[in-house]
Amino acid sequence: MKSMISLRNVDKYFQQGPERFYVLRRVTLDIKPGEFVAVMGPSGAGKSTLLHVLGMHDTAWSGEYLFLDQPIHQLDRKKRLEIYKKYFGFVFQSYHLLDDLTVAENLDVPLSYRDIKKSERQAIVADILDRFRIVGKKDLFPSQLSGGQQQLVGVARAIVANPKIILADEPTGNLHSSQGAEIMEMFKQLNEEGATIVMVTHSETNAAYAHRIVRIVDGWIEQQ
Amino acid sequence: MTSLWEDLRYAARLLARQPAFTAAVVLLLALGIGANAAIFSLVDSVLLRPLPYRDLDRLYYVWMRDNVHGRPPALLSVAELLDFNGQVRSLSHFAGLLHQPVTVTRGSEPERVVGAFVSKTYFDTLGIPIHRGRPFLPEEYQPGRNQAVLLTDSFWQNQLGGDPSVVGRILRIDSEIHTVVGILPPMEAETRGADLYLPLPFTPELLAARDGRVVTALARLAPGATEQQAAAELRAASLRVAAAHPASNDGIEAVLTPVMDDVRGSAGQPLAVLAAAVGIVLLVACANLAGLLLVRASGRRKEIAVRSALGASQGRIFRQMITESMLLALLGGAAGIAVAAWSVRAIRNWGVLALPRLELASIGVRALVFTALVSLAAGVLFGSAPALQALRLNLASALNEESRGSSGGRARGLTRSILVVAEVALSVILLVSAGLLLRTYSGLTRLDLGFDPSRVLTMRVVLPAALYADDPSRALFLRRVVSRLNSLPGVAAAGGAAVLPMTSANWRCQFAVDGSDASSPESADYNAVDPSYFDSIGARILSGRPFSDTDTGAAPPVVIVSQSLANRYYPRQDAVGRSLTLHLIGHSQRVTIVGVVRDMALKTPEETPRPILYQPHAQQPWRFIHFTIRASGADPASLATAARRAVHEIDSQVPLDRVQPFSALIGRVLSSRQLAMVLLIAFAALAVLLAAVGLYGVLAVAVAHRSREFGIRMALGARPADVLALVFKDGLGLTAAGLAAGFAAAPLATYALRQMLYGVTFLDPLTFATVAALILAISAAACLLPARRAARVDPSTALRE
Repeated sequence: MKSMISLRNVDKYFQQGPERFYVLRRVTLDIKPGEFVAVMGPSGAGKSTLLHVLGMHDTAWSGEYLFLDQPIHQLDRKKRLEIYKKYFGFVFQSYHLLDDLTVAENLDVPLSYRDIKKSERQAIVADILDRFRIVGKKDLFPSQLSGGQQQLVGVARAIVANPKIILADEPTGNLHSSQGAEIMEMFKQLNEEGATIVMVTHSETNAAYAHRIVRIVDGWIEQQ
Repeated sequence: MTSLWEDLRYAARLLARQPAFTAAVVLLLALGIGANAAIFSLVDSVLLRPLPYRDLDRLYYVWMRDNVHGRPPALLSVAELLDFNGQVRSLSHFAGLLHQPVTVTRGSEPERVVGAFVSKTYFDTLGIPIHRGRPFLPEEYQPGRNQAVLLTDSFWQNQLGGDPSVVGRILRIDSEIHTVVGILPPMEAETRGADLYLPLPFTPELLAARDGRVVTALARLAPGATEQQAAAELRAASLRVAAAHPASNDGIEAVLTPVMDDVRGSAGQPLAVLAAAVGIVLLVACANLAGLLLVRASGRRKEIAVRSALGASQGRIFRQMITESMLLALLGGAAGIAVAAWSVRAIRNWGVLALPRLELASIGVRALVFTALVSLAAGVLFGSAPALQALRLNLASALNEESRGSSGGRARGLTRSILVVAEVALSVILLVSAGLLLRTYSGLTRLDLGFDPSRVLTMRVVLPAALYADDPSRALFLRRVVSRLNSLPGVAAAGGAAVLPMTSANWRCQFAVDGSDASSPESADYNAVDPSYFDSIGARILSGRPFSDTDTGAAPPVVIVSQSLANRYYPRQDAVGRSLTLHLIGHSQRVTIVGVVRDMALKTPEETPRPILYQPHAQQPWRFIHFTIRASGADPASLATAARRAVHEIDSQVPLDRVQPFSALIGRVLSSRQLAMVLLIAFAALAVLLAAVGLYGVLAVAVAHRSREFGIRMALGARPADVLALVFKDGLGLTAAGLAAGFAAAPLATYALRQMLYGVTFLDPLTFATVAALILAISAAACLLPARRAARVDPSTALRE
């Protein structure tokens, strides 16, 4: 099967005086559609940096990045944003819900950036609320939810625009184990429904949900 | 559109969640935008709003300019009005108007109102239609048949209750019966201030007085004609008139000035200064807000990053940020309208103002549109920096940041510092300008006027012509009233004069000293006064004698001359005892100089002394009389009631008006400068306050940001005073940069002000030094709180953070 994501010799470094401090070093990685990949490694190894490179949040790197055969490394900001909006969803460790918006409004935000009609958006949000069984919480603000509930909303928000790939940065890092398990079950279900998932995690338990584990140390990917 | 609405809704929610921040910003903007809206409505009513005349740009005043003696342009005589009418083909209309107070008697109460006597084509020239009734008939301009009157809409509404049946009724004006033939339409912004219009009959006396130049002439350019053509034709016509009447018109030329120029008058410069000042205040407010929003935007880095990570384009992020600023600006604008309405009302009610049409200033549709535009511009101005800052976000690092409320990096600190420097610089410009005007005003109020207006009450009487038809009756009236006033308790001295200094009255006479060319007389300002007038206003007789009760109509004609007239025409000689020929309203007479009085300022406190010629009122008893009453106590206004009663004891039918202290007349002369000064001081104070708040904000954020550094310094042995000094150094460094920039730019602003300055140069070192000291003192005060907070940093806590 052709790769969905293909990284070739990706380097990322910070210049510190005359020295270069590498965060990612000659990273070469292929991810196929429908894969569930866990990225593991010690703190500061470059896991989150890799995820942000994949998610195009970070553009200061060198090397090649093909996404569905499109050369991301050659595209301008606008084209990259188009691809990102069409295919990607992102789940953050600390949820990053917008404090001033209700649950339903938080779910609506990604849709509002994708030129979808208001009536259609309302239907999609209603469907997601139903699917995640959080209809009763739709008018609450993030501060009125538990950590697990917030991350549930975070995951719901990541998939609301029907992405083909979900990038998750330690999605259970701030949760109790039972809440974490619930979120991981949700990822598993989404993966079974066809979504590709790349998840950064410290937890072997969570990594066990993945089809494949990519280990990263000091910016280098270990041989798989 | 939907997304714009969502941005707006989100912005509204954010602002509602931070009521203190929102209120502070809205208040700040309300002051900045409100000041602009208020000044705009003044500019609009005084300078921009068109007069209610047809094709205003083709309407001109005609003046008589004396090319030989270089005297100021004068009005026309009735004879000259007739001479030029029809002689200039480039002028389709030519009309005259003569202002004269008249007494309207309804019931038993006589009432003083302003009459305007107009020539036949006056209303056609201005393009004013008759609202009700009819215009004057041709025969109503004939002497003896001129008992017709047209009412202004305001007189009709205010005095006659808008009763439509008044047309055709009788009105008693100056004790004569007049028929109301019509009512003029409402004329907002009309400058003449007349209550009634009456036909100007060309009596033989008026026609004979060729040099009695009392008529304001107005002309309209003919279709297709240019001002240059009309001026050339007027010049040619002037030569023909001068050839026919050399005694009165030799060297005198009719000239044109656009009516619009006169409308703007002296109000233009003060208003331009104020408009610039409020613009600067708004800039300072915007710089302040930009700094505030930069700090706030720093606290929202994560939100912006999350939105970007969820798919928001840079355009959407910018639009959302700018929408918030726009919403704030519009809220500020709405509150600004309230501030402006209050300010305009306060300025309008300011008793001493003399700006034309100020009473029309209000927050109307034009001011609202202006406010909306200024608000939006302000929103873009203060919202752009934070919005652009949001676009320069490093997404990955912002998403990984765990610290909240971070104040941002060095670049943002630098931007805020530059904004503060700009605020200080702009405040310096305003403060220096305000300081120079303050010094000017203070100098003007301390100038020696040649008389002492303190403790003097003034009031005016215009004797009805029908009741006081002959000279002796007028002379007797004045003598009896002055005598009665002098007997009142609390009165130190009372006198009377035809005109008062510091009023707009412009009475001129011509005279020829013995031995000079009699065909080319000199001109001087003129007044007719009673024997105790000089004493009552504290004017000093330098040589000779004051007028006495024996200088009556039957006695030899005498005059007193001003010091500058005596010096100019009788250099190194005693003017007292000399004779001259006085030309007044078509009559010439030989008069003897019996005294020389000290020079007095007539129009403005700072003017160069003018030659003035004084006649005894008893020898030229005018119907216009101003009484001057010097109080023995401090408050002349306390004499008003007794003085009124004293006049009415002599004649209860005589209307009295303009009862006011002399100081009020001087206040009116200085009012436009006083207005500019007071408002400029207020705006400068506001700007300085904003700059101080801005400085405080920058330092407070910097101190919060550097608390770890301060902790380390203190752990290494720094004393609180050392840390205090560090913060002061930063704050005063910014202030010094702002002062330097402000001082570099201020001379450009003050140079533009120089026409409004008196007794002080636009680079006045004292003003600049005072401003520097003031700015440094205020800045030091703004530094104090953050500096103290820095000095109180606990090293152990700061190092753990």
